[in-house]
Amino acid sequence: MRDVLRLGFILFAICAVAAGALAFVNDITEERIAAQAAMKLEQALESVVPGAEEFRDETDKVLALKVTVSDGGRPEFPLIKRVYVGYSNGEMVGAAFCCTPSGYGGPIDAVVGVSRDGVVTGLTVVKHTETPGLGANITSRDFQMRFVGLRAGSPVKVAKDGGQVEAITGATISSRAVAGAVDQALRLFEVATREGVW
Amino acid sequence: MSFRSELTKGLVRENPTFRILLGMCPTMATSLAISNGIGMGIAATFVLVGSNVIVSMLRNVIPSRIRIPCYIVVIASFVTMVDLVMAAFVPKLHEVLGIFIPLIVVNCIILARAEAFASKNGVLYSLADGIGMGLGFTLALTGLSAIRELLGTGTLLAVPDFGFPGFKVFDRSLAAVMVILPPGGFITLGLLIGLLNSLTRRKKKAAQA
Repeated sequence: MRDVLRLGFILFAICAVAAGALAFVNDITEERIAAQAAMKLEQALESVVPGAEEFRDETDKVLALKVTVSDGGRPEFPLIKRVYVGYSNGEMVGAAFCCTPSGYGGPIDAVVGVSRDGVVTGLTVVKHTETPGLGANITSRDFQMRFVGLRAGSPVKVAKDGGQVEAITGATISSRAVAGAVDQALRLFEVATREGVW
Repeated sequence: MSFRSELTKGLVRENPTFRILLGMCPTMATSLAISNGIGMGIAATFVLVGSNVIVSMLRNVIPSRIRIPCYIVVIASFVTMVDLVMAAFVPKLHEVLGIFIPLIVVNCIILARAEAFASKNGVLYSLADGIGMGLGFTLALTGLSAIRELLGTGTLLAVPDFGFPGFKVFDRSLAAVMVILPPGGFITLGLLIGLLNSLTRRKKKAAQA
């Protein structure tokens, strides 16, 4: 019994020291990491909606729509986390949808840009934990360009599911996740346009 | 036992990938391109050296009955700290190496060295062991990934994170995609181990004669 307490105490002490050290490191890095994430988001928005000079976070306005158009309040766009609308001289030029589909190794943070007339203008992956060399290739320009030019109207799917986008070899799950995000972004864009949000 | 022999044993004699066959999961997953192999190797070496030194320092404090959970706490904390510090201060590098960091936690080379070496030896020797084993792992990954990248994609040294397409050796349509998929990885690894074994056997025979 005494032994159990002794061992438990030692393990507790080691965990406490480790937790303290982690808290300390988190404390000194948190602010910088958040600042970098904000900068990265800014860059991502600019790259997917070309021509926009200013972005406004209109998530609440756009996502509020889903309740009115979905049956029984079921969220129809569960992958979409934030919506930023790009303006140039006060005129709306496009919208960027921040999506978090589930990939093979965890959530993928992707930003999908849609122009005013409903065409995908850009796609970028901000953060992911896909397998290096396979799923991680979703960050490659070659793959992302496969989505540019797609229009709202027909569902976006990988070729294996009968769609129009060629998946990365050996990384169907990661490719499918990105395709799902683009699909929801386009559909939400269509709904928002129909409802006259912009 | 000398500092030098502890440093060099991981390179060939006790190479973690080719000799001890540890860490097969990250080996298969990251040996697809030379840039990945080197990235994973560097990140793992860094964590291995750190965890070896800490475990070695704590070896007289940690009771043997609860040593495994203690090592796991030490390694996981170290990996998380490396991840946070890199994300905050070297974001560019973190973007490239960041995806390897969660894989390091499941890299059993690190736990195996803590258990088999660092818990029984002094800090200096553990440091040498960590550096040597890490370099051996990096070397093995680089060799394996060079073969897989060349045969599987037809290019060498591609670094997609920097937008560098690599040197084209032959056309992609001639490449054997199977080599970059897991079965091809195991076959390549098996052939490399066989080659290394036959080389050492021949060397031994020559030494005897």
